[in-house]
Amino acid sequence: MLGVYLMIFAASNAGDVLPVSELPEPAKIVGNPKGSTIALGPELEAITEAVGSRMRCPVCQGSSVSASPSEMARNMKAQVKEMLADGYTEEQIFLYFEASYGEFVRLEPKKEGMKWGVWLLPLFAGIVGLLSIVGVLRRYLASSLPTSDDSQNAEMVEYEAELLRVRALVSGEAVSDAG
Amino acid sequence: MNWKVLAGGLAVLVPLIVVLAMGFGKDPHAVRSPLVGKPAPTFALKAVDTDQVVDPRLGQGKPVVLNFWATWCQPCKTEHGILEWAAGRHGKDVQFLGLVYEDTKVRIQAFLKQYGSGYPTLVDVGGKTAIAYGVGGVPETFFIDANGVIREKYAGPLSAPQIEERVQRLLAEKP
Repeated sequence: MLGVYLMIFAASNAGDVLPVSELPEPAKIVGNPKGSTIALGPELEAITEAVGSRMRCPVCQGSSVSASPSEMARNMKAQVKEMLADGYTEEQIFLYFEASYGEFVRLEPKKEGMKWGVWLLPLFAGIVGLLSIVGVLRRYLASSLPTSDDSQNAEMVEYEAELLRVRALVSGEAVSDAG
Repeated sequence: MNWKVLAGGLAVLVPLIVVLAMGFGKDPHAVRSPLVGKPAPTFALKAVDTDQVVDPRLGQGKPVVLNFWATWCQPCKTEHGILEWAAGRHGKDVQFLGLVYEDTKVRIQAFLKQYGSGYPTLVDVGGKTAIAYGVGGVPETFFIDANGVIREKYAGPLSAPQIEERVQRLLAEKP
């Protein structure tokens, strides 16, 4: 019924507990573990949580594997835990998941090559924005404060007014002297 | 006209329009997967109806249509009938396989009783196979050629013409 290309093995009596040994071992994809094995316990839980917080849940909207309650995220977290316990490093774990999901699975893009742009462009945009704000503020302040030309003009006006007053006084005295 | 503002606006808009235009001609369901062009991950899982462990023997000379689905997925119900039809039509030349994840055996059996089971349905307990295939939701279908290489990943329900077109493409390739 299943066709000639299906090999059927004798079923175990273990209910839904299935052997998945035919799946590619992580070592076939990322090589042998490069780290140290971690025993079950709080340390393993904490590292699993930390790695999961940097791994994207593929069925969620921008949520990490650690933050998502979905079954897919739980399965991924279980696999992360298993690999950490076996001594795989965080980078090896990400490479393993990248083989099937692509770099999309990383919540933080790699800091290499063109991908530096993802990290540096926001910084660049921030600096440009800040400089623009400073420029606008400087122009605004410059236009609202009196300039040296303005103060020179004011002095000139004051000087001319004073000159006119003196001339008036002088001409007044001349008139009274003539009278 | 403020030329500086115009130049700044164009500098932002033109690249954006170019990026969007590049995506217009693509089928949003034909998902780019790092697995396309690579050997399909092998697996051995238990068939829901017989409780026997099935190894699909990928790359053993027969193309495989591998469909990930779940009973709680509404589009999967429609697609299941279409897959049944396609399996009936091409079952001799192409191996159709259903792979259920995040589901229970009781629900799967009830579903298959109602909608038919013309090809093997395997259960992915623990979701390791789904992870190995980079599944991000259901339904998702992988078209695997006779050499065991993934030719395409399709996200979403397939119509009959879409399946037919892809199966014909697989059959046209010589092992």
